[in-house]
Amino acid sequence: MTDVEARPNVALEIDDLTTVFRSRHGVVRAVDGVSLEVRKGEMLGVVGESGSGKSMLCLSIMRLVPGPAGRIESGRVRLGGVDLLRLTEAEMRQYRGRRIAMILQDPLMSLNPVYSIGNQINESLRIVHPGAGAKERVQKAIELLRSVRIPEPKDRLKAFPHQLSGGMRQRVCAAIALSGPPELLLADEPTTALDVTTQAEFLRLLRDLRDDLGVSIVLVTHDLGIVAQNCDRVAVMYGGRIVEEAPVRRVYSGPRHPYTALLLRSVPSLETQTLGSRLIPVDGTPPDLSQLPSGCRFAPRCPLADARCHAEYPPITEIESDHHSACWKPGEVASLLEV
Amino acid sequence: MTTAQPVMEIKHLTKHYATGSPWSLRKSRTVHAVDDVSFQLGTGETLGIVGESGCGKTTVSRVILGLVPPTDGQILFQGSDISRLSRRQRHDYRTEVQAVFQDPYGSLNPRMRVSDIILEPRTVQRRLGRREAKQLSGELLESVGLPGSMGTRFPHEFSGGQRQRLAIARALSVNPSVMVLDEPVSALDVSIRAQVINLLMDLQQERGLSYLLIAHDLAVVAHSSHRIGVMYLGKLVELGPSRDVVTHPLHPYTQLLLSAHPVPNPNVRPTPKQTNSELPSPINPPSGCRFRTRCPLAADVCAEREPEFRELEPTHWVACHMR
Repeated sequence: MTDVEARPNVALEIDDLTTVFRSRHGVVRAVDGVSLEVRKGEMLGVVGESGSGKSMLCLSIMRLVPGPAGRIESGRVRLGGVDLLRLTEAEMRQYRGRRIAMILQDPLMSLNPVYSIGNQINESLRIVHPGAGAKERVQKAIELLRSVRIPEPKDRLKAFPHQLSGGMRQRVCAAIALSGPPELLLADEPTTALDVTTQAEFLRLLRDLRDDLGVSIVLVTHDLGIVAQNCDRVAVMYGGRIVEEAPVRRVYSGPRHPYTALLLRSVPSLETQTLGSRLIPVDGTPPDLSQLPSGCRFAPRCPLADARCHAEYPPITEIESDHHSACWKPGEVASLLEV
Repeated sequence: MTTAQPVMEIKHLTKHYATGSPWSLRKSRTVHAVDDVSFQLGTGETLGIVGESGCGKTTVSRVILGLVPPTDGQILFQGSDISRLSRRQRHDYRTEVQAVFQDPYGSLNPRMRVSDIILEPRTVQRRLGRREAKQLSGELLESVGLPGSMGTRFPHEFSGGQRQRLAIARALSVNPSVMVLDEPVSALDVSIRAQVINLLMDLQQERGLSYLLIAHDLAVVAHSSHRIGVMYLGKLVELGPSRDVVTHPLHPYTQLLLSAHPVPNPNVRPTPKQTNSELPSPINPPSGCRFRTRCPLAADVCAEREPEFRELEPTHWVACHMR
């Protein structure tokens, strides 16, 4: 099964992944030739708007793309040298929960309302550690709840999801995800349903999981602030493709794709010198995936676009070491920020 | 900017809800959704209200819109109490105060044409002739930055940002003086939010509108409001000019909100203040100051007496014993 030598620092390697959906408007390429690597022990931010393909990317990695309308068309997703897309469903089940786990946006939807949380943690422990006895599993469940900083974990095992606050529920989801414990954790908008103060605490928990347990995390979000303060590297998605990928500091200090630059410029901030001033919006609307432009997907909204941009899609290339951009004019992007 | 004359005055507004069904055999308990909240909205002003879920900010907007009656307290619109209006005056009040809600997918009837949707508040007042309707809908659409010819389309043909523009056009159709904006951009894509915020700010300039802007995103509120009110568990805990509230927040809860706000700058490391994050229940709020169970500064006095809402600095109000 090990078809390629696993690279030492890479936890997950995605190569030219394409996921398509059949719809009334024809075939929609939700993920379109995405290549990406998640390094060991890093938190990678995946930023994008609705329809950019960021959630579908996660589901494709887990091989949970909802069929029959959706399917993974091509590509490779390698975890430790093994291509997940070539595994049988039974083999894939050995990976889910054990080596890759996922946390979803709405903890109320991902927990079953009629089972106690102890019951639900136990369920995943039974699958992940089939050899463990009942007592051992209870101990393990308490440990897991403690590791996600739920106070009085022993008493909480009997609680039902509705008895917990949103932040606590999301911690329970994290505890279930950690039962493996996995080497890779996919967190799809994990804090969107939470309040800011709860969000800050949950993000701190994710940082600690990375720093203390060395879990590699993919944090999917639409919030540029969350990425800036928590992630090591960031991949920006637009219209099913990655348009920019680099270490966080580089992207925020010198974006090399117009979409990233304009997005950063348009976000209202708490910096006092700009309070009350006019925001500089990104013109136009996000692309309709069933009617994508033939050239660069951002070209219709891009102030730098010329004939070539409208005709040919720019491939993603490494413009400086470790800084990738899919733009024909990465050198001119800086000019967008001088206003 | 703000003029001396407030268009709206909220005095000691209180709204309690009873839990459970009125026919339930279980004892009903009281949810203190909003408790003794007072503020004024100036003409041409944007007042932002922030707070986490359950703080009562949406209840305040619903009472002001007349969708639910207050339990106690008064709402004065241009000096007169809205609970004592005649039928005719109430009708006028409902055209003067209009709303834009969070979800532009849920707030537009999918079976109506856009021109019918945006003119509906107008036709409640008086039936419009066909030519007049066409002209008006064109003008309204153009005023929110959409082509005037789009009136014959249906809502599903519009994107989220465009739908929110339609909701704004509908509110504008009766020339209101006050708009209640309840989370107007939080359902929109990040790249679209700035467009809608700018549109709202331009319309305010052109028409002298007063906005009550309710949102959970502190940056959106700080950016677009003249003043900010911070609510916690049904109470207004701080009120002041945006700049002052953001640069030197007086209430520990405002400080907590600000420290938890993710800043799009990787050089600023997150420094969330360590607190107990559990929000107490609004059914049985803590005695004295409601924030004391999460407050790093809490002392004995905070449990004994409720802090008075006072003007600590000119125009900057706070309810905290420790200040």
